[in-house]
Amino acid sequence: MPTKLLLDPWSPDYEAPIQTDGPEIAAAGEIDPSVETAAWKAIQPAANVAARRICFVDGVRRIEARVLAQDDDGKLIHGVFSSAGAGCVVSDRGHASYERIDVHRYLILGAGRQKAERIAAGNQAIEFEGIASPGDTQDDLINCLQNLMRTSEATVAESFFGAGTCVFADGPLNYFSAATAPLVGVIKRIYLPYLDAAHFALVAQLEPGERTPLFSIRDNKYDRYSWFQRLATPRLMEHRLAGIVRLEVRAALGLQQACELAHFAAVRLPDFASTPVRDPRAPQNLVPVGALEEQLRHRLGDAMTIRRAIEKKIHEGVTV
Amino acid sequence: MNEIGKVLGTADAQPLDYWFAVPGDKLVQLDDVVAVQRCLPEGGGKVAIYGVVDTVIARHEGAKLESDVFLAHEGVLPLNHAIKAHVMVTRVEPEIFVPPLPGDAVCKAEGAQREQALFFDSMKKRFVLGLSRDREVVYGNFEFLDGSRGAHINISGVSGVATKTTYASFLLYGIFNSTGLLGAEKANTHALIFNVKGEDLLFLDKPNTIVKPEVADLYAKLGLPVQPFESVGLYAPVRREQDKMIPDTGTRSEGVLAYCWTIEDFCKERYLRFLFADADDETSHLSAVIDRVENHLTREDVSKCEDFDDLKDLIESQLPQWAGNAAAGTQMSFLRRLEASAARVGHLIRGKVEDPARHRIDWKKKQVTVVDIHSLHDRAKRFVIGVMLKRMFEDKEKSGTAQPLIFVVLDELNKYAPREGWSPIKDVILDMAERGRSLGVILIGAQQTASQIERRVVANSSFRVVGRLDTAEAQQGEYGFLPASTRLRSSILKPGTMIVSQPEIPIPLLVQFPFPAWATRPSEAAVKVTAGSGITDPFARFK
Repeated sequence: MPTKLLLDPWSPDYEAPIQTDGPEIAAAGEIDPSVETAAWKAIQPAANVAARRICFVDGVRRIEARVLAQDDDGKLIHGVFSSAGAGCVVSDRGHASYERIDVHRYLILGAGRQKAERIAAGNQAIEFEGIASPGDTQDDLINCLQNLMRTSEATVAESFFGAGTCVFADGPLNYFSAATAPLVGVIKRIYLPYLDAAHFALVAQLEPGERTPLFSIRDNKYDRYSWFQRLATPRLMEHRLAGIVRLEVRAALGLQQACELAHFAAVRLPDFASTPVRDPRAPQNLVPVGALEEQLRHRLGDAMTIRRAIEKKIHEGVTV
Repeated sequence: MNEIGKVLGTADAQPLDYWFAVPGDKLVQLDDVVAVQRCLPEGGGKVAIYGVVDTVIARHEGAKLESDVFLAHEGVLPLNHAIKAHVMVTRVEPEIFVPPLPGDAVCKAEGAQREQALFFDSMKKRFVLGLSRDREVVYGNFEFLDGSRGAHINISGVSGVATKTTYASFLLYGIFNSTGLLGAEKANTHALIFNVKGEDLLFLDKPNTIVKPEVADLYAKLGLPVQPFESVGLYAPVRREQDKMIPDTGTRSEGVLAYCWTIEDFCKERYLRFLFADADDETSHLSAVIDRVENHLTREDVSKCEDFDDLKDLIESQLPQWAGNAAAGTQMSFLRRLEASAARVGHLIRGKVEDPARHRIDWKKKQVTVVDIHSLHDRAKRFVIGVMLKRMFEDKEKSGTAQPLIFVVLDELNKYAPREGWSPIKDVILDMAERGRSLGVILIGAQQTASQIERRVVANSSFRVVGRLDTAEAQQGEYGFLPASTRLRSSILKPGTMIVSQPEIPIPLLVQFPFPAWATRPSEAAVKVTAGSGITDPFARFK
């Protein structure tokens, strides 16, 4: 039975403060720090790594408006009008540019409902794709949006795979189906040490351009090689773990390719590290990634205009 | 339609000025003439908004820190070049003042559109001002020059690089050589040019031998022939302390007539006052004495005076009677000044002159008359200019009609019509500025600094031209007609480039004029330079 959709008047900025970027899968799996070398000490690859086209892929999402409806039984149906963008910055031979920007709009509804909606905003007609969320709560809807964004990021990243390329994706590689592509996941924050205390002690001692040896993480789902590396020297009052990122590649790549990518990342990534004046998440939020996020948010369009357009449409009557 | 950008939406577009964004593959520069079509709602038709680009800005879009440019250069930070241009609207057709809409296409105005944008289409009579940067002709409305709606041209610019005199002669050349502009009056239209510096104007009738062949294209574009001035009369002051009437010139004597006045003319025509032409000299007492002496001289028999010294002695002896009740101090002051003048100007006023008509400057004999005064003392310069202008003015007053026109070219106006003080020449020039329009006397005046000129002289000029200006001078109120960006540019203008403001066009236009087709120095005229003449080449620094 169709029911009328109504607006939740609160600004979507007052979103439930749920952590959707992580935490990483709690069960870390089986760790083997001896896959690359038996001697556990910092590796400083030679600076003359083979040049590669570097692609940075990232995504952003935004709730445009929250909506509510009630079915005949009085049960609440939550919904969000939302936007997600994914894109890529390519840095090739001294030139950085935005190479692909995808923007998607979704009307995500709980309670198994699904409805696409076309809304006229300014001189554009915006198509909100109808998505039925597997969960019914507000948090479920946002998780659903997060998954859609991650999938979109994976689609963008996959279009850049190729010889002589290295794609850096934001976060763990769970959403990627391609197992043998030159793809590196960059995990900005350290939630789990993965290593035992003795091995982890090396992480704090790394210098920019150095990395730990590879260690494998085996969980029988996404088996991967991982390493820690330093992007920038922390200031004196900062913890020695500031400026550290963890990177991972799929184990299916093979150890040799994994080592090559690890070498490449250790040498090249510090060049892209941001500084505190530029980014509050410096140095881990890399400069091209910060710029890409800003560009993506810009491409999502003016939030106020879109919200007004949604309000107008709901006022005219939307049923789900 | 040649689209060069779109009206942008990040800055307010207004009916009289707007910004547009320029795509990376288009070139937009200052002075480009552009057009936008604005569609009105509900079948209201279209409004054409014309304008001229007065600012172009390029920046990194998305850059927040100054050091971002380095990151972009290293391929770390993706940044886009963004170019935007600002347009000052010159014309809206039909006159419905609406802003262009963001997204509206901005096109380069060419052909008929350009004529509309710059009002050339509505000029019934037009004369060439020069070429724009993109080699299109820029016209001036002749109705604002010939007296029907306005008159006079005023040119300001630093000495040496502003090429004021050359531009003035170019304008005259354009007026005399544009087909159909002067019509039946062409033969009777005259120009009187005072050559105040160097001898650069003494070669107007000689072809320029170093003119490059490609300049011919520019003249062709302007619709002008490449040739010297056709009908030129050259006059130079008579050489001092010589009975023979030889012109006092250094680089050219062939074809140059020596000028002087007879004592008889001097007395009859009341030229005495022009000997007292120093701006700071004037006191009412003194002018009363001069008036009286002039009165007496018109009646006096001066045939006995062989030279100016004799006349001076005559005046001196008679002064006590002629001066009436003027105080002794005033009389002394009069004599002191007369004495000083005699030394400077005396040789130009002669008692016995064979064929005096030959040595009188007759500006009607040729189309262009050049009067050389550069070698004279300041006092003598003032005398010659004062006498010439007065005579010419009286002549025009007598004829009673404005047509045919006479153009008077006078450089160093700051000397002759200074802002402070009074002098008889200033009086004549002011008269010319204020009444010349109805009498058909058109002043093409030039000076280094308009701020030092009598305000009314500049205010009465329909056309204001600026060459290279001193940066401090450019800030003076006299240049209020220049927008800020144009003011800045005026300090870097190259020789051969001028900024012209005219009444109908709301913003001044930048024009370039071609290298003169007439010689501006002896070497260009291939005239043999008299050895040891000591004349320095006034155009050497333009090379």
